[in-house]
Amino acid sequence: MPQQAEPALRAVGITKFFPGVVALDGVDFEVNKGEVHSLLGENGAGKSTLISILYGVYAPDRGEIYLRGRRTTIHSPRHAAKLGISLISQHFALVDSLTVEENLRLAGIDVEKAEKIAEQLGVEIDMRRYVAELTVGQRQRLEIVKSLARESDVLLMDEPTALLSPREVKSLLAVVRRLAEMGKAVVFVTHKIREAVEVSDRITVLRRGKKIATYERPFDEDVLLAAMFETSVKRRVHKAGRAASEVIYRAEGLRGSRVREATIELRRGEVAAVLGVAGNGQEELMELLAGFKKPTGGRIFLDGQELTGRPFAEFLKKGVAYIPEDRWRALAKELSVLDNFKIRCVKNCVEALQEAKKELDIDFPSPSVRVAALSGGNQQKVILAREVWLRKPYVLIASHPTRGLDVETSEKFYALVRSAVSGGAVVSLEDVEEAVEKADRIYVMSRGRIAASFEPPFDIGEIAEAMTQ
Amino acid sequence: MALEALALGAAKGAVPTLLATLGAVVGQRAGVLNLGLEGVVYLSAAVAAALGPPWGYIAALVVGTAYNLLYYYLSNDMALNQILLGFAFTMAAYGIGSQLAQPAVGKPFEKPPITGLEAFAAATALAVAIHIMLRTRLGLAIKASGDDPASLDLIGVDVYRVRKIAGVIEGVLASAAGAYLVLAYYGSWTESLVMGWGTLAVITAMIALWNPVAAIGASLVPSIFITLSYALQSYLQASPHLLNTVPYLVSIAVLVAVQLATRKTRGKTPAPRWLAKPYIREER
Repeated sequence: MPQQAEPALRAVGITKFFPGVVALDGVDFEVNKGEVHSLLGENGAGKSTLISILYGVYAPDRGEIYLRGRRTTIHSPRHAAKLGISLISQHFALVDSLTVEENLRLAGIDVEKAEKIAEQLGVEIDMRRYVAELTVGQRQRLEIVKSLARESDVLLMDEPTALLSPREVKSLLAVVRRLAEMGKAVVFVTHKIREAVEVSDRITVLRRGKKIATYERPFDEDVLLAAMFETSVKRRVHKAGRAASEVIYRAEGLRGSRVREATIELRRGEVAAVLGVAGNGQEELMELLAGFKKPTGGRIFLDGQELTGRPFAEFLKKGVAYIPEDRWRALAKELSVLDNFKIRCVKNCVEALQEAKKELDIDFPSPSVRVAALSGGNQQKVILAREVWLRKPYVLIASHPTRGLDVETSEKFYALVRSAVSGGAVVSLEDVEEAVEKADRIYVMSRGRIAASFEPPFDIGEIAEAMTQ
Repeated sequence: MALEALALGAAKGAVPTLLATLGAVVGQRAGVLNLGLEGVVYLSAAVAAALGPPWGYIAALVVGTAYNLLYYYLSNDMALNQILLGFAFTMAAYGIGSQLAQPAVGKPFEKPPITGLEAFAAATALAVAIHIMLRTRLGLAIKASGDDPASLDLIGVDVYRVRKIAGVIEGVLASAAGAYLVLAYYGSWTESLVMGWGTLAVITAMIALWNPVAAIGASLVPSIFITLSYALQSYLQASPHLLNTVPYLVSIAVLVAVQLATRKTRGKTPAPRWLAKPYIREER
């Protein structure tokens, strides 16, 4: 066996207990210089816990960490940063109200050096822009530049694509490859198989706190899928081509501040998807459809009855449910899971909640735990339990309902919609393939207008083209 | 002639207001709405009055700054309610201060000329404070602490320390204002003499839209009307107590006007987003 250089970072037998759960069970993991090594797994597989340990947020209960071949104890995130490890998390260490340059100075980074690194990386950053004006992708790239300017050689990226639009994902993956070419060691956490396959040199799959295996190129997506889930979940393609039923909900020529003209029809038993590149007005359209925001023009009919301009409470009474994109608009952060559930639940709430917990596989230690303490996926499940499972709405309007959910749970979401929603659902999605698999009708939104609508059989190419028009 | 006297009076009155206002700007920028500033100004003024010049200046700075720092410790490190604490600190200072300075009531100090050492010291303190806020990394950290402490924490800067440093700066400026009021501006002490100056500073900081340079202009607002109300007392039959309320009413009116004007321009209100909220580290 040829003598291999020591890996940049190596963790051996990492075990971590949390009250009542084994979050990590003897996991081995290593990443070399110039390599992208992905950590792949569904929610709760232990990816984030492992990253937190490598970044010094938690101390492992058992196991050792070697940095460039030397055994190291990482005491804190600050210590990790000093050791040349940096974390690109979903919460950016950037202050919105300061400019890019001021943010760099605040972080103690030489501005000229950062400019040079950005150039090397092929990333454009405008020093005088306020961070508030940057897109999520631009902020993320700024964070990467910051960590390089700090001479980090190990980059931990925790679900870096979760908040990005498809186009931004593409440019991020290119940047990640470039990082490896520059000799950095990159740990890339994701639950999306396709991304992992595209960007990685090696992939380690975690499931329920255990390492399943480490795979090398060339990857087999089916093998990875089987490793992620005990019972391999096949993405069920919804059989389309049902007999056309009557229109139950109709929005005609809706207008708002970003939405310029949107007409949407929903038939009984249908799931309609609204697709579009982020920032084309989908979020506002969902607010208008749900009656949460009053349109400046256009009309809304439910079962032939006009609801235009009526208060949101009346939409709710008529059986409309709305799931906003931003979870904190649907959940009261500081209240318990139970109290959040009670916002819509009137009687036998504890029992109902326990039942929902079982049915949707929501992971929370007790009903009285603060909802902010749950993981993102579980927060989303609490919302789904309340708005869909409990309320059994007539019409569901949901903005990115499956964002942050793993494949298994998003399958469950669509099954739930088919069983619990008596009328139909309009969901806005960012993933074309998900829409093609799950929806009966697809609307594409572009610059505030419904640019096109599609019926099965769908042609992905055509849809993608309409989205980028 | 009368106008000249009015201008001079307004300028003299603007110095303590500006000192305390800048203090309030620094503190509010850091995210702390210190309603106890009134207490800090009052207590430091009382200490200055009790000891008289020159030691009164130094003692006032030390006591006032320590008092302010205690407020910052309780409201941030201990995460107690900033508003309630502010009232408590004000009332406590009224009580303690009036007792401390009891012997000084009705005994005028030797009033030093306005061009004395104090004027230079005040000017230097102002220049330093403005420099810190606009030109240094500490200034950026203070601004970030009021706008987005969670990110500041992630950057690796200790939010609690930044806020305490802001508290020290605010304390030094506010107690300098207190000492200046008694020893240089009024030259005497009575129980109710310096009441209200600290509260005014909290308002003028908001009129200045938390901008240290704009604070210079904003400080003139109450000062002009304070001076005017003294001048008018000799011409008008109105009760002096009623006239004394004019600077406060005008300040509030200007505050409302400024806030409405910024709303109309649709510009983002530059108010620190975390104003009056303690930063509690999210447990993970």
